[in-house]
Amino acid sequence: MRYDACIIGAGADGLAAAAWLAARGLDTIVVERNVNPGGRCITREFHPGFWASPFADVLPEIPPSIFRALDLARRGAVFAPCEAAAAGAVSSELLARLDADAESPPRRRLFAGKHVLPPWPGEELAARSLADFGVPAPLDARLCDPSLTGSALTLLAAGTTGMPAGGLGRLGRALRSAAEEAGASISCGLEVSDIRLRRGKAVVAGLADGSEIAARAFISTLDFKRTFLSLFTWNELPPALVERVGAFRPAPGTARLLVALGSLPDDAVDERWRAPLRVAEDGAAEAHRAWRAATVAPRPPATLRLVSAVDPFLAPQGGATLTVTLGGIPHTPFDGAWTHDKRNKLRDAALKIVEEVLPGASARILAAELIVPPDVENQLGLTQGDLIGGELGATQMLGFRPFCGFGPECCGTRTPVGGLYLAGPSSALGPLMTCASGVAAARAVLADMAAGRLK
Amino acid sequence: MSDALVIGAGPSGLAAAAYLARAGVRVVVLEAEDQPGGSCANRLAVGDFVVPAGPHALGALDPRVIKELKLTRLGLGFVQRDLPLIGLRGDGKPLALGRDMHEARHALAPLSQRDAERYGEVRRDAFDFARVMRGLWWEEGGLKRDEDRATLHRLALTPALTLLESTFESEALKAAHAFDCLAAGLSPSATGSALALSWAAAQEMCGLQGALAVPRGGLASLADVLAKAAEKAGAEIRTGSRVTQLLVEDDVVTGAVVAKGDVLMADTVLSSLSRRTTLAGFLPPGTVGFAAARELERPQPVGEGKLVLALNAQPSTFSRPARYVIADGLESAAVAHAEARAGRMPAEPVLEAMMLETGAEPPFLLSVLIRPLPVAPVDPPMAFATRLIQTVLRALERQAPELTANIAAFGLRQPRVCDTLTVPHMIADWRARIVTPVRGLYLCGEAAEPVPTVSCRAARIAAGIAAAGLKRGRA
Amino acid sequence: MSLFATPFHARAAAANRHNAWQTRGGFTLASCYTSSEEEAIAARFGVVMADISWHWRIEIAGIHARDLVARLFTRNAASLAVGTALEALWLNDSGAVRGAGTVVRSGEDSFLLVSSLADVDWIAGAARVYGVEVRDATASEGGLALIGPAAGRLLAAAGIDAAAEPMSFAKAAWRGLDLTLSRFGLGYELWCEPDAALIVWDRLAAAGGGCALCPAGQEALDILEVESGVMRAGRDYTPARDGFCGRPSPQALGLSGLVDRSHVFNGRAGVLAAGADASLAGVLIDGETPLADTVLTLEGRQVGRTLSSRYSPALKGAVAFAVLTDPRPAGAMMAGATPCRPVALPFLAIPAPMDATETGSQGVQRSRTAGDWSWMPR
Repeated sequence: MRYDACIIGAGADGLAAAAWLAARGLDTIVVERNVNPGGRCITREFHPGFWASPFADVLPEIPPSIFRALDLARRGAVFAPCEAAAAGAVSSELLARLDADAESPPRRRLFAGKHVLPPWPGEELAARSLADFGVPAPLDARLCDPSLTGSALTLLAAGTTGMPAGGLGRLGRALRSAAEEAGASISCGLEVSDIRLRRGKAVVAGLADGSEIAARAFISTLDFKRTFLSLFTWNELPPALVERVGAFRPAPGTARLLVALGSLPDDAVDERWRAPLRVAEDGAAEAHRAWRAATVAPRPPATLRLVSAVDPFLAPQGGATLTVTLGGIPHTPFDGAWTHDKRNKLRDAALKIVEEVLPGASARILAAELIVPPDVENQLGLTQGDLIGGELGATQMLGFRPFCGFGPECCGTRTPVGGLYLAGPSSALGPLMTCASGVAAARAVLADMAAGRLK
Repeated sequence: MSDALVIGAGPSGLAAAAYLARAGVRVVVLEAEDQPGGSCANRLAVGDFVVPAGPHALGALDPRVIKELKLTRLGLGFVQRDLPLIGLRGDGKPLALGRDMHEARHALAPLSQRDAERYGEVRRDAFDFARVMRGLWWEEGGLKRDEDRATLHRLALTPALTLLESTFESEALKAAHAFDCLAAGLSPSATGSALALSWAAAQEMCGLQGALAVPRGGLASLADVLAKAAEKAGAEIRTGSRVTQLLVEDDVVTGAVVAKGDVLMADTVLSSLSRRTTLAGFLPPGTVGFAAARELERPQPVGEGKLVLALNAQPSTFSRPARYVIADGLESAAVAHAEARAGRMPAEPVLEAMMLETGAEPPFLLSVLIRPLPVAPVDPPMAFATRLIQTVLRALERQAPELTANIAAFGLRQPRVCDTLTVPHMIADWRARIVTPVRGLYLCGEAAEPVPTVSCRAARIAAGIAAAGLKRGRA
Repeated sequence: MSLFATPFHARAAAANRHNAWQTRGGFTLASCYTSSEEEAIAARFGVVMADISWHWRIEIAGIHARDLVARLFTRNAASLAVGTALEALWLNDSGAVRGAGTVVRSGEDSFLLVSSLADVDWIAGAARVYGVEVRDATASEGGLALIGPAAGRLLAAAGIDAAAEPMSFAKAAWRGLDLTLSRFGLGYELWCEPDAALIVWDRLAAAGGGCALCPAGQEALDILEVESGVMRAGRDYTPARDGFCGRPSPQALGLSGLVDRSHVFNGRAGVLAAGADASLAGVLIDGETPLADTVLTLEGRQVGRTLSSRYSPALKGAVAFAVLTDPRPAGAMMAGATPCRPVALPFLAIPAPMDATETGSQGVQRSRTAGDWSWMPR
């Protein structure tokens, strides 16, 4: 049977795209490598009675129009209001631009020279640095050197969804129910190993167990490198694309520490714990340099969240759950892979920061679990454990993300390969908004089908 | 077990019973007192005489009732058919306003040339409009023309004081109408009082529009005649039966309970008592809506009293058969109304005096109706009665100086509590005034009239509605 | 701002960061402490406490109290068991809605009416007809609403040893204080003597650390009520204030569910004459601006009208109460020029107070299955 659309990866973008397409009557299938769908939208009981989302506590904001259209609140995803985005008004313009690109058909090259595409909202930030705005650098995957030109672009990624009640797993379940109720099929435990082309167009996805899925359109929510380097052989792709893939820079990795506290020190019962606490903010530039050198900074920048202060059900009565996000962690340290010793050393460094901020916490720790970038790569399939699918730099943002110089054919989520669309973290809005690029890819598929470009 | 019960054997109760009995309904009339007659029965003792405690003349008896119940054949006759109005003020001559326009013009000329010229025309216009209003008040299909409705609307919002002030110039002429302006406890400056004047002009007695007539034998003879009509038609009148409670089941009336404890079942009940007594007094609490119950809690604070004097000599002032209105002016009437509302005896009440027919021999009876009086006076009863009599005698004394010396006996009837009159009540549909929230229970007495008075029109209509309801119930 | 302060005013003033106040029921209350949207959403995570001392409460006691209550309210409250409550309307003589509230049977012959809009004259006038005593009890108690799934945890942590079923109340003694715990609204309500109010607030705040307790202002309470599908007189519709006007009827407001046609109540004839039952529906508007009193069309044909509308932070869009002529409209519905979607109420129910020992929630992947987390080194 030939599906209308095959979506690779059942993360937030993949499920949103599946829900969008299936609701409009297309035969849709989502293929997911893990046993359970959701990608990073999961909540795990890492210690009996203590729950946390292993990869992140908050995601980039979900545009309200998509939130309403997928009815996520009524499916169980309720979000606490979050720290306001620094460039809030721009996000709706960005979304409008992406939607417009999805709808508009690719134009033929007019001449062999360069194409001038309409400017993206927020592009002017590429000439500024964060230090100009006086805003401290983010301390997670969006870590950058605030004095470098172009670092101001991270302001576009400042908006978050806020914490969901019950952890990110609630969002994953809500998206899954939206997709299933719309009629999409979600196949878990199947890994796509390659995509075969015929006359330059993607027609069949080959699975690891040998079976095949034929579809008119493929939406990949894997990151840029993994999509093109693992699903194709290099000689099937245009050389310019292969070069671009190779030159695409990853973002700094993050490590997460999930801490279960048996009880709270008295001064933790305070309103300020409802907001995240940033430690060593001024070390962002050093941490970035340390990451480039594939080492860990002696005092890595950390963001602490007492998640049970916002959602008490993430811990049993009397206990507390704390998450620590460390920025600038290399995927492979310069002296070899992450061994037990290195993990423990990092864990102790993080616990030291916790004790500094929350005196008396060390004595109450019941469990502390560390997740480093290789773990993220193993679980989520993200190259280098990079949660945002590529560094937020001037040459890798907005109109340049991920394709640069490929002309209007690749506007929005379209790729140089016919019938293949790229959603996920490496796409233009991937690190800026959740679900938006999935929906944009779905819209591009619908537009191309309506125009007869997908047979 | 009867089909219908009528509570109260006053003129309206008896008329209603007569109509019902003629329609073939088994009727029992329950009267609390020992004899029927209600306000027309001779109950007020004045020396050796007993006179009615209610009005002393009839102005609104429905001619259709007289005709259909054949009251003339049963003995109803009128000794006076068209009493003129004579206004008496503190100063000046009496002002006689009868049906004769020449006489009226002649009487008005010394007071105001303008009034003299205009009086006839004004009266004619008022009577023409009043006749048109019969469409509404005599249940003849309502008002057809838009301009009539507009005039009604305007009149409904005009106080009598304003109307008379703008129409007439002479104080004496205005004061002569003061008594009528105070009909049913309304102040001359209250909206709706102009409407009451128009209503009075819409009536017909002895074939004359707006006439006031006196039955031979007094109003008691009207009561007798109606009782005869009712009994002749087959109704049963039970005296000494005071109703204490009405039985209601599922918002339908099923019967009445009498003071001795007897229970009478019936399919329909017509009450000639006030709305307040019937709905708030007899029904179980909550049967009438709470908003309606709240309105019934507030009775009219102002009412009418009656003082009847037995005189040894005929006063010359009141020698001509007429109704004499003793009032100083409209403003003083309004002030008196305000005083009465506050519970005090007004210093200058408005009086309507009339000589009752007793023959040529003394004692002579002078009946005086006094408006406005407080229904719940602040003073204790004896003190209030004393002050009332003193005030009335003082006012009479001014007109007839020899009067007080000749008083042999007197009888006083204090004002009684009655329903509050509102403009919507006056111009509502008949059904709205007669039908109650309880099915089968109807009001047929003064409470159902546009202006409370002895009329029997409501009784006639209520009997028709009740009879139709019974026929539908049986069918 | 009125001059009457609730018993909790001192604590409310201390916590009121923006000094935002409003007047309700004659009392001065905090509009919001930090932000109404944050407070409203916090009720879905842990528990919030809101001052409801301003709710109008009137005690009806006497031999004929049962008859009065039976006649006054649109459902038979006289047959309630002692300690339970029901929601009902009271209508004027022509069947128009004058008010809505909770009728509690506090004793054999005594009842308590709790409502957000006072209607003293009417209830007192009705009581006079039956010869029953009424007493305004609004100022005699302080009340806090505890709304959210962690309300049970909070009560356990605070040491309040009482349980109440939905629509009932129970009395409790709490370390020397006498309290009444009830469940009439969205969560629990705690009633205490005015003098003990500040002590109650402080004790709850002290115990609330592990329950994510935060105070909620009146605007947050409004948002929560609307999201839960609860309409209030005065806020969402204007009740009749006249004794005889026939509007709004319960059907026009979609409140037929609170009217028992087989029961005899004041204004019943008017309700029967006003037509068929109608229930309230909800409309999710695809936009953020509220659209109150707007015509709803389906393919050009009018299918209803919105009543009141407001922005819901949890749903990230505007919602509106509406009465629809077509019970199950199919197709693209528009509110004015904005697309919208009809839904059954509640828009988004607040999770009921959970057992104190429960942790985690739906959507969470429970425990590790073999092969799934093997990549996670310990």
